[in-house]
Amino acid sequence: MNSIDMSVDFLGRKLVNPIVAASGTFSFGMEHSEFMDIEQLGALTVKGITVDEKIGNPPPRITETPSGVLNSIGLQNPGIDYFIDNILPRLSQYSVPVIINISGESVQEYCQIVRKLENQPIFAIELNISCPNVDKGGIEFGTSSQSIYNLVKTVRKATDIPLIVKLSPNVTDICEMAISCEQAGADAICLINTLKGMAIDAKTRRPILGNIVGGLSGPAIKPVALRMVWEVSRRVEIPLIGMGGVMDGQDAAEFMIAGATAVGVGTANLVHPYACENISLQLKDFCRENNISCVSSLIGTLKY
Amino acid sequence: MKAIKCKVISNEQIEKNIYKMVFRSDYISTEARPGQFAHIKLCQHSGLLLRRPISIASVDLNRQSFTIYIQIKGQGTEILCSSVKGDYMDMIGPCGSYFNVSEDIKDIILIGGGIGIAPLLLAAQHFKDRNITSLLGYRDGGQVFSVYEFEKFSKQVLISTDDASVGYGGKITDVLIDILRSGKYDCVLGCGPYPMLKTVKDICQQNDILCQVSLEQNMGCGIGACMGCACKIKTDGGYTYKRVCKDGPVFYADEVIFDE
Ligand SMILES: Cc1cc2nc3c(=O)[nH]c(=O)nc-3n(C[C@H](O)[C@H](O)[C@H](O)COP(=O)(O)OP(=O)(O)OC[C@H]3O[C@@H](n4cnc5c(N)ncnc54)[C@H](O)[C@@H]3O)c2cc1C
Ligand SMILES: Cc1cc2nc3c(=O)[nH]c(=O)nc-3n(C[C@H](O)[C@H](O)[C@H](O)COP(=O)(O)O)c2cc1C
Ligand code: FES
Repeated sequence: MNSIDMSVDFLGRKLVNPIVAASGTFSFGMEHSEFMDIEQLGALTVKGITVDEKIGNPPPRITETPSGVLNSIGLQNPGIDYFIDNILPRLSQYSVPVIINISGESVQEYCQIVRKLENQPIFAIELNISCPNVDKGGIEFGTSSQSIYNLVKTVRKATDIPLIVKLSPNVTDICEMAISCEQAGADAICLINTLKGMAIDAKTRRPILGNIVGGLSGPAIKPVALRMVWEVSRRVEIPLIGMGGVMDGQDAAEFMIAGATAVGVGTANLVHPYACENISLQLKDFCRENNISCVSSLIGTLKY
Repeated sequence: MKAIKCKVISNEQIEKNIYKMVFRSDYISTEARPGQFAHIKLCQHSGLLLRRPISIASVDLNRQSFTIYIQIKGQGTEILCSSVKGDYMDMIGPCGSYFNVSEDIKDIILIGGGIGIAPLLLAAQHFKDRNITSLLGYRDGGQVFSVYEFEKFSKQVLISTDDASVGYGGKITDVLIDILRSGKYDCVLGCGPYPMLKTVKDICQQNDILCQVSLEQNMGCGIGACMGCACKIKTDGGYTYKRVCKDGPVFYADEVIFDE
């Protein structure tokens, strides 16, 4: 096969490929740009941003568990104003679509950030309602379908910018949350965020993380993530960004087959600073080897 | 900073639980500054994901090689130490900030504890034209490594062991107090466990002497992107968290808050 069409249509735009850098693992793109061409990303999601600067949680903030990474960063970020004035202008010099991941402690805070992003050169806003590492906000919104609905509905009224909602896997019924997002007017759903977990040093009887608990990511959570993407894709019409433990091209193909239009790469960026580029090349190889001429034809094709 | 594959030239066990490994790399050997580290991927099939930060301990520009010392702590360092001559290891480096000493500073004290001695060796090599005093603290006689290499670059080398088997019996920071009392020095560069570094900082403040320390913290990316490697740094009104991998590992001791 001569050429493989790697593009996917997502929120009215043609992404050059389905690979999206996941929030919090790619900062604002500058560090990784030393190792790869960030314009080769389907989209780039920035580190979670809040109204005011956040200094984050006490160290240690990251450790390794079998096939996984446990983190408790706590949304350390410089705040929305600093981001818009000092970071976004640099980032928007690149042609890559930029997704702004935001967190708030109240519906008002989400709206406040969203209003500031009006008329900025961004592709979409991703509402992080699922961070397990902050006391207030984040995950609180993400675990009740009623509060998700209220939040998304209110933010929807405040802006026409495409809205993605990032869901927490720490819920009883992921589909209920996803359906609320769709009904409230979300344009897409991103799943999954990290699974709440902890690690203990048996000798000292102390938690390894300064915050005691953290969020688990990496290959350890891939089966959970695939299951959730598959379940949600059967219940909503809006497109999905699927993520959780994607380390290579085949993993990415699995998420598309389960129903994702785009595929997020998180932990792999910590392991290899050029992971996103590798994964999209491997996905292309996968297509070539399996006689697939356009990668979008994989979406939602699970045979069962 | 680049991602490169480096060939293992040699790997030998030099003390109980401590290995010395030499790698070929034109790039790292010419670019590395004292205090910087290589972020090393464990072999593909180990099941461990994250890289391990290891200091660059010396360089050989003629052979285009560099040396690291690894102390086995857990599974990751054990896997690193099991690599053999001819293996290629996936590294990012050189990473982070470095001991930055201006030209006018002549009399330098290096103070290291345990495996924290490793990055100071590159400092000794790098600043060998100045007057170097190296203070090396080891747990016991079975852990004493690379003393003769420090001797090559230093005006004097003083050793301590906790069990008094070699050199001064006690803490290396006691030796620091002692020599500051008797001589004139311009700056102190330190690396080792946090309690030791805290004491070094206090001693330097009391003696009004410039001090830089190299910190350790669990790391994710190693390139500044994940905020995983936080250390507490003083600000005007309070404190903030900075990145050990990018803003550090070397900081001025005055700005570090040692309370964790
Ligand atoms: C800048 C820097 C330079 C270093 N230089 C050296 C060196 O030259 N020689 C040497 O032997 N060691 C060095 N270390 C420490 C070394 O990185 C750790 O001992 C090693 O990561 C432990 O891994 P493990 O899997 O064997 O231990 P485990 O305890 O099994 O590790 C579990 C997890 O904790 C992390 N971790 C545990 N202890 C540390 C630590 N002290 N620092 C960073 N991460 C840790 C590991 O990366 C891993 O994610 C350095 C650390 C830093 C930050
Ligand atoms: C260090 C780290 C920081 C993260 N920060 C954020 C964040 O700020 N906002 C967010 O929505 N998700 C955050 N996440 C979650 C990831 O974006 C992703 O959803 C999750 O890690 C699962 O994907 P993975 O297994 O590929 O890492 C973070 C994950 C990690 C490992
Ligand atoms: S380890 Fe990722 S920012 Fe330092």
